[in-house]
Amino acid sequence: MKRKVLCVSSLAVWFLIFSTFFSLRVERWMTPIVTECVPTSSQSSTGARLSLDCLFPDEEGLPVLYQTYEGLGWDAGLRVKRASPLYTVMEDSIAAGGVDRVVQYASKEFTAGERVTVTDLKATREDLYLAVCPTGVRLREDLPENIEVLAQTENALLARAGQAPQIFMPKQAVGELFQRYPFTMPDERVYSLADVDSFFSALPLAALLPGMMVFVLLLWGGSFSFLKDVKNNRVRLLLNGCFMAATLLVLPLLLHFLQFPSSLLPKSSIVEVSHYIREFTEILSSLRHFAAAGVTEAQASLSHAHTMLWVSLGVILLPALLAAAVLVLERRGPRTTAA
Amino acid sequence: MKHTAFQVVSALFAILLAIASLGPFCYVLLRSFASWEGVSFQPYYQVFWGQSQYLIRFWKSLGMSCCVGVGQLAISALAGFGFARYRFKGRNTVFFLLTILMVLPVQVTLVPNYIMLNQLGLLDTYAALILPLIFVPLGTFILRQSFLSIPDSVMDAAMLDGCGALKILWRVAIPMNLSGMVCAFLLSFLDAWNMVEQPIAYLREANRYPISVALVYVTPSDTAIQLACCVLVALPCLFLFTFFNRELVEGITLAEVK
Repeated sequence: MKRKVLCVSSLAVWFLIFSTFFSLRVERWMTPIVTECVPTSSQSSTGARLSLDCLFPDEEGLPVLYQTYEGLGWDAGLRVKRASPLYTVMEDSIAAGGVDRVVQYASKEFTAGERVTVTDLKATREDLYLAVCPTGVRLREDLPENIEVLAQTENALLARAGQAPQIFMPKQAVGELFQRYPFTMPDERVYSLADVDSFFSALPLAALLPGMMVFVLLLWGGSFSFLKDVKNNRVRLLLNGCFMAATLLVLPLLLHFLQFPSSLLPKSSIVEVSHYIREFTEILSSLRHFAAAGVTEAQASLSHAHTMLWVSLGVILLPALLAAAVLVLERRGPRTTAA
Repeated sequence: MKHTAFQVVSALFAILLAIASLGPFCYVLLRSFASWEGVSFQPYYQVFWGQSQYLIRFWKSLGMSCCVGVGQLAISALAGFGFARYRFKGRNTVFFLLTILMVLPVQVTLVPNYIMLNQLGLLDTYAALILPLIFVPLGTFILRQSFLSIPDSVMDAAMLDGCGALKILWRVAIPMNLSGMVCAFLLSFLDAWNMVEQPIAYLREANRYPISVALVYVTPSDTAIQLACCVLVALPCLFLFTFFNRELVEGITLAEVK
């Protein structure tokens, strides 16, 4: 009985240590990165004004302003809250009567009370924007100079963005590309292909995490069966324990090198599979259209995504095969007698 | 027939007691992932993967409770051995005073401990939680009772073999009373694991609160997360009880018999 309890507990402890390291990284990945802006006074209008970009949909989908604040105690850290409603949404701007500094762009969706990281968008990079427009493409007449449209279909658009921000802010890209209407939230979605590429590049490394779990589970299962005859299986049990401990030593290193682009992560749960299926179905199907039309950038991204998906699948299976091999070798090996 | 009726009634009461005791725990388990809306593992995701604060507090609490358990075991073994094996003036009076301290509620010693810890400059540190609990007399009481069960002849034989007091304690008394030691460790560990008043009184920063106190601060609107957190808090207790079940029962029995 004691051995079984110890065996089950060892798996529980492994999972708790794994979860501790993992949650520390998940917290960082899932923290939305936001930019802030202050109301500016223009000579033509009276009072301070904010750009319409500062509006975010609340839980009911209504456009509202958000501010950052320093949380206390259990909620320590920089967080977002709804700004006091002392502002008026005008046709081309927001009259910010009683509002000071507000959130302008965010790398991903957030909810009130959530922890955020504030950044500026000084660092830039070359990027490709893939826009999906369910109700048709309504491009701005005055596109910024750094944006060049590469290809366009009825419901999608591919554009090259020179000096795009290092951290992709979907709403900023939407504002740069499309007409903005007051009182309504835009239904266009823009994805950064640089982010899509970096997401798929991270997949093989990320696949090691479930692979590691499968590896440990198989080893643990093997160890559980060895419990029937502990005297003759001491070395095997010790070996499996060492393997399990070794995975925990590798884990922080693995997590250190694993980076996901914030713009492609789900709102609340990093393991929300339905979000990834929905997003990547949309991205890959749009890319396929452009690739079929001969757009080389789309072809390159699509081929990279496919390669990485297959590599990731292999990486998931590899630890499972490794664990199976270890168990087979252990079972075939000579039995050790008790000291 | 009368005997059978009594057995039935006592069995019924035992079942009722089991339901009353296990009911809340079953409710915690079920409600943490199932509600009227359906089954969801989102609360567990939040507690185990979504936010690191729960697990970090869990490890801190575990470390603190282990320190309390080991520390109290060291102090109690020495004190308990002294009370059990050596006759000195005022022994019974001191032991009686210790027993009185044992039955005093935590709240009574909270203020004097606070003043002492403040004077020592230990407030708002983990030492403020560990030190007072190390000197709780319950361990001394349990180990004194269990050391009394060792026959005098064994002790005398060890002395004749040239063993000193510490060697007798280390080589004879402790190995012969493992269940008492385990029982004392478990009770002190659980005492530390479940403490609520002390952290609130001795710690200023909420970031330092152990998981037992932090449970209160989990968003009350999200009951499922609170309950998933309760499952996490119950894990060490469940492990200790299932692993040391026999020693715990033996240790308590030894303390009662003497």
